[in-house]
Amino acid sequence: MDVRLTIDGHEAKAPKDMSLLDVVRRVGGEIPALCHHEGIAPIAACRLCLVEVRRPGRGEAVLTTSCDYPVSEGLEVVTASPRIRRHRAMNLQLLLPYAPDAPALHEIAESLGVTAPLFAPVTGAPLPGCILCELCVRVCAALGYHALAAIGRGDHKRVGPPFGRSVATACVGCGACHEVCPTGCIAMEDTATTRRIWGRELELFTCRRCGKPFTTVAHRTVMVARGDIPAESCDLCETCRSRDYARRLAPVR
Amino acid sequence: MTARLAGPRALTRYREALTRARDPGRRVVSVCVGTGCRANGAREVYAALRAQAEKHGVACEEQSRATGCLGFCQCGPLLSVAPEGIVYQHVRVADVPEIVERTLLGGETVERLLYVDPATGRPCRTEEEIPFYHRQQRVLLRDNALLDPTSIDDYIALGGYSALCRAFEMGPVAVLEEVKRSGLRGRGGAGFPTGRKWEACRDAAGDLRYVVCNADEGDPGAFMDDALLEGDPHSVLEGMIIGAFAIGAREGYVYVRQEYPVAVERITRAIDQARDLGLLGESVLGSDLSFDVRVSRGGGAFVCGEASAMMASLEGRRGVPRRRIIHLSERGLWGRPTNLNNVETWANVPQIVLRGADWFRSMGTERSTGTKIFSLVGKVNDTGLVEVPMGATLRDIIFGIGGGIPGGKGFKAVQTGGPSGGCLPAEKLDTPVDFDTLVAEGSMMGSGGMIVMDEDTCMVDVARYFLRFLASESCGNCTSCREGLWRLRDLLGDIAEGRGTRDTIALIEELADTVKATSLCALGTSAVNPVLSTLRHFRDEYLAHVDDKRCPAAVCKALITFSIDPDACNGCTLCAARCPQGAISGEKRQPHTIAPELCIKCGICRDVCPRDAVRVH
Ligand SMILES: Cc1cc2nc3c(=O)[nH]c(=O)nc-3n(C[C@H](O)[C@H](O)[C@H](O)COP(=O)(O)O)c2cc1C
Ligand code: SF4
Ligand code: SF4
Ligand code: FES
Ligand code: FES
Repeated sequence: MDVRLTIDGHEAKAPKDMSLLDVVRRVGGEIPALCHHEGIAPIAACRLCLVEVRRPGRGEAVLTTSCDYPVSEGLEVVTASPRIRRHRAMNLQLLLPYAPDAPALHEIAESLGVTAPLFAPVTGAPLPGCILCELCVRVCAALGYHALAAIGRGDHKRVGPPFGRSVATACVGCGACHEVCPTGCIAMEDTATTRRIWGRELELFTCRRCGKPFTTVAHRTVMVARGDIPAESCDLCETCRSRDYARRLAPVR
Repeated sequence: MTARLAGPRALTRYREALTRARDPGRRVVSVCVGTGCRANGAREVYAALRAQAEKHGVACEEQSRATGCLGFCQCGPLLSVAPEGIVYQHVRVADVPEIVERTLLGGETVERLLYVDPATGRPCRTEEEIPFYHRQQRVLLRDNALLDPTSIDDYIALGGYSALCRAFEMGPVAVLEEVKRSGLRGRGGAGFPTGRKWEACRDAAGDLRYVVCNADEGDPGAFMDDALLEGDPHSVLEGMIIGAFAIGAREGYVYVRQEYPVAVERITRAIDQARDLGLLGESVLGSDLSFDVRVSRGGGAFVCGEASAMMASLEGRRGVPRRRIIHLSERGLWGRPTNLNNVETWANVPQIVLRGADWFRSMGTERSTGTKIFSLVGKVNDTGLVEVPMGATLRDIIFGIGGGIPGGKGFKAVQTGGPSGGCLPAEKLDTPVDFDTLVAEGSMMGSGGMIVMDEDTCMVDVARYFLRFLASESCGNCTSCREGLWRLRDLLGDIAEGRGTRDTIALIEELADTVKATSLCALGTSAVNPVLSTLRHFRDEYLAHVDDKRCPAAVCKALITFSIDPDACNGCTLCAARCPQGAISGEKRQPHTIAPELCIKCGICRDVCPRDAVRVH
């Protein structure tokens, strides 16, 4: 079911309960966000995607995060007011010391007119560069591996292998966390034959056709076992797999 | 095991049999073995009492009981003797033989064990004579003294579970209306009207509903809920059964913190006893109601007391709050309609059903009805649990019941509402304690913590202390709360350590504003209360720290210096002998001096000086 809402005065339509952040982005609006991924349930951690919303018949506009806000009929949304920008800027200031060099943060700083950091860089963080968006933990869980976890709370919170272990024993080395991390702080190093990630050293698997290593043996084994794609495709790198598909499509054409 | 009671009439007969067997005039000795008294050896006192009584051939099984907290923990271990109502305080094992011989056998009072009213110097023989008690209105805590919390028979003999029978007579709709009309508001912090919450849950779509009791009690120093669960567990359970009946729930949970092993044991036992008697399980008391309760232990994170975090924890997930667009009443535990209430909220329910909404409304104020239990701690003469009607003033509680500030010191502030409550100054002592007034004053009711501070307290230091707790108890989800709180803590540290400027205060205010406005749950949004309320009511003290680098209360070590007043010092050399730094020098019978570069401000010299010659500025 679609609902109608207004975003900065412009009317828009969207499926009921869709994330307000996604809706705004779909109509071309811009809202800073560091912990959001369209395919993963929101946790609203970064507190940057702030907007003001007013529900019909509900008086004043309230400040809220948009990534975890489901849209409803008649919603009035403001995506940038002085209040919104001021609070976004402060929350960004709180994250900057952890990843002072991350382009994703710089981009947001620029859009908010934040020029000078309020606080000095934090040194000695358990995972330098991490801003605790938990995207890595969530993407890993969504893929069914649960190799990572958020550990501890308060100013001791961190992400990493569960139970504070130094090695993520359930990690298959698929690299999804590395891919999704907004600050690029998850180290993943490939040598000719192995991949190092989260304290593991995993043997690489080479494409049966072109001979290029494209994932780990462990990841390929899981792909075969799950059977989401035909077993023989699991042995091909992405390029060769596409070619393979294209070739197989040929007779129909 | 006793047979299940077939219906309300069977319960009445069961109660009659109990009361017939018990002589109302018999002598019963109660020893409080609540948390406070236990820490002072109450269990040993109780064991000694039974041994002594046995020696003298007094049938102690019948005549002595170990009870839950009686509130006056300050004077524990407490021992009381019925029917006379004599109360003995600070009872030691060594006092037991005398009590047995003189009071139990001889019928006399042991004068030296009585509480002495400091105002009049008169010994108080009974509870009614002790000012701490006679200014209270004890509705929920009253029975703690009268029952052995491990005995369902004690509870039933006192009329327990008759509220449930009354509820069955009224029917679920009328019960809910009565609770609504009573004006009862949640005792866990937010003060949400209980009846409305029940109604939302009852009316939510779905066939399986839950009722949950929040016994996480994470506020440091608070023990209201602990005292109820330990001291009168069946009252909480009866409230839950009535709630389940009104809402239509089939299952219930009690979420208790792991650090309360005795409360866990008591409520677990109470549940088993109730089940054995047919007060839980299929067809409760022969009615159509089928309801059972399980106990779940929380790991002790403060944030797990927050409703949505608790649901996650109950489901076996990490206790992290999540946004609730759809209320828990509609989609709570495992996505089903769930009604969560605090321990004390549940304990009020049987009373309301039994005595009626009008009776309940007759206590308290228009918008905050009934009584409230507070845990009164800090710099106050009589600490403990106090139960007063809502709307009692802070002055009534701190001075009337608590007996004021010890050592003739001045009152400075009181913090209400747990770690994230606000601090109110002396000018606010006549504030009536109810949900709305406290919030309007920048504090909150919370679950009933009340910490009194005297003139020797530095409010910057206090704010920093609470921020330290909150920064480590934040679940760590939100940037604003996780990062904001430790930053605030450190900025307060800057001020306390002499590095602060007016800019520091401005930054604190700006940052606190964002933490409050943008954090997800009430931990974050209320955590700035200690800072903002002290800035509001004690701004001068902050300014003294940043402008004059001075701590008016002489607490912040970086901002104080110790010196010896040459006119007061008679050169006794005590301080010089005790200074761990060897910072004090001087000839015998000559004024001494402190070398500031060596002094570590430990304060030992001030403590040992017999002439009060050590000055702190
Ligand atoms: C950080 C935090 C901690 C809380 N801790 C408790 C608690 O220990 N006990 C409690 O009953 N409510 C606690 N609450 C309030 C609960 O979220 C909830 O409002 C309450 O249990 C509802 O019951 P009531 O309506 O009977 O008060 C806490 C709330 C927050 C935000
Ligand atoms: S490692 Fe990257 S993805 Fe994971 S929580 Fe930290 S910033 Fe987010
Ligand atoms: S404060 Fe401590 S170190 Fe300083 S003079 Fe007194 S005793 Fe010595
Ligand atoms: S994107 Fe919404 S809080 Fe991070
Ligand atoms: S524990 Fe005994 S009076 Fe509180």
